[in-house]
Amino acid sequence: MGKPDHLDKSYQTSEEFEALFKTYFNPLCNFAYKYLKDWEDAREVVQETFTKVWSNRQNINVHTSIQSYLYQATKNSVIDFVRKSQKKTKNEADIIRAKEDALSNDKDGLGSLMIKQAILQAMDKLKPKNKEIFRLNKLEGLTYREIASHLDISERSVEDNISRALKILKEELEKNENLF
Amino acid sequence: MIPVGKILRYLTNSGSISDDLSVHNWLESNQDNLRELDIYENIWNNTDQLKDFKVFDVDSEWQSFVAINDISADTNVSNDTLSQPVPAPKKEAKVIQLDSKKVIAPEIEVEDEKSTVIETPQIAVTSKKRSYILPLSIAASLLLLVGSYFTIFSGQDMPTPEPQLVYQVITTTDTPQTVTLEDGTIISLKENSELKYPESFAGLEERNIELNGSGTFKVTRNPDIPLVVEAGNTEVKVLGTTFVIDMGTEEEIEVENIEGIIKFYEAGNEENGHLLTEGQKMVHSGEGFTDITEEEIEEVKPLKGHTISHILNHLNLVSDGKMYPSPKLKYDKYKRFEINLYQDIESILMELSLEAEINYIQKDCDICREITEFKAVK
Repeated sequence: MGKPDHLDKSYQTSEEFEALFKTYFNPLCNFAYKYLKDWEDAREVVQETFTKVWSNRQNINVHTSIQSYLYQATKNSVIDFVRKSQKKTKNEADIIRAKEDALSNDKDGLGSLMIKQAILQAMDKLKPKNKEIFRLNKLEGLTYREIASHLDISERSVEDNISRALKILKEELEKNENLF
Repeated sequence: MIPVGKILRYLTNSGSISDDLSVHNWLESNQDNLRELDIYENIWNNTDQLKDFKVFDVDSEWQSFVAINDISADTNVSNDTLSQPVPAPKKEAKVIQLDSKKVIAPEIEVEDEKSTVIETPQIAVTSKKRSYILPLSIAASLLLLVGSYFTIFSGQDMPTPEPQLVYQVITTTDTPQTVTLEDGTIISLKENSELKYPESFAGLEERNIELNGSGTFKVTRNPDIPLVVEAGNTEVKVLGTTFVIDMGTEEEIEVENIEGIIKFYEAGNEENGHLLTEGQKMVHSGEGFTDITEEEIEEVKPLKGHTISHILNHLNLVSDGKMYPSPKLKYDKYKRFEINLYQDIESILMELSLEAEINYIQKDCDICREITEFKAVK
């Protein structure tokens, strides 16, 4: 991807920012959902995060990577959102505190979510049959035997297709030097 | 390079001891292979949770973002940047339709005041493009006419229609099956294999068939139409002979020639193929072709000890599944223990306890245990 890490040097134009937005929007939504358990809320929080980043882009200096910065910024937005949205009964205040603690201790980063996004994109590079078998196994949770029966092919053929898919996904993902 | 199938079986704990040994030999042959395996494992583990990953349409999300934020007016852009159109690929794409009305209309239509700053130069650019549209239209029309002429009047340039082929697909599961092709060729298909072949070879230059699995071929001789078997990323070409193809995986194909001569080569690269004479046996893997006529069994470099994965599998097997690893169990997959597995479970555990720390949750019976921790004693 080769993106610079400093907001003060890049992402100033709408085109640059659009690329940034489209790269990180889904991983950040999935991260926010982990704590909010509501996709619409997660989406709203991430939109707000990007709005803040856009408004302050000329004053932001990222000292780590842009990915870590967005991860931290979304974390903060989720905490704000939780604080605002929950009613303050004692029980709910405890829940808020627990969520804040969990968020503060979240060190997972976006790495795994970026890989998942890249896998989903790279799946388009698979041949249709290959993709279908891989999808049935990994997204539908079917066993090799079930897939073989469903598609009327041998289990060995199913395994070969999954192997081939894994190989192609690795080749595709390795093109992005920031993933691993 | 090791076949990915073996790595997959290693990651899914479904490989044989031989598979595991191959992976370990591969890992020990080069330090970089550890990183390779880590990448495979990282991808594989992430695919397990793919179904939970929600994907929003980022294009429409970006449009919402643009609508909410004052992007164009607030953008710190130079004049050069202004002359670049804001990403609006769908509108741009209409230029190639060579229809001036279609080009202009959507570009002039400014729905949002905020985008005026950007839209203005866009209109200028589009107007420029419009000046090319008439000549382009004429050129396109001429090309169309010339193309039509050749299509209609120059029959020899037209592609010769290929014969319509009807294929048969035979898949075996637990029982082998014998298949006789139209030309009399007999194929003994082994278990868990698949064969695809045309019902008729009439009008073909080659008798092309596809194999996935293992089979013995007794090919009816026909010097004019060779028989080509596609197996994984290799092909075997013959005129008439008997031979065996055994696919360990799609990436590891073994061919044994029983009589006559056959040619074994990578698909699409026949020049670099190998001619196999009677009794000759060859395998193709990621490392290329290897003649295994003399030594049929791959000599496996003996490794000292067993991996934790291997030990856990063994304990699970000999306990009839009563002893099993916890789904949350994490362990060093490269650590090996030099113990004798050919003894009873308690003796194995006793011997292991000298080298490893093993914790478990005792279940209903004496040997029913869920292993929760397995690590080397430091």
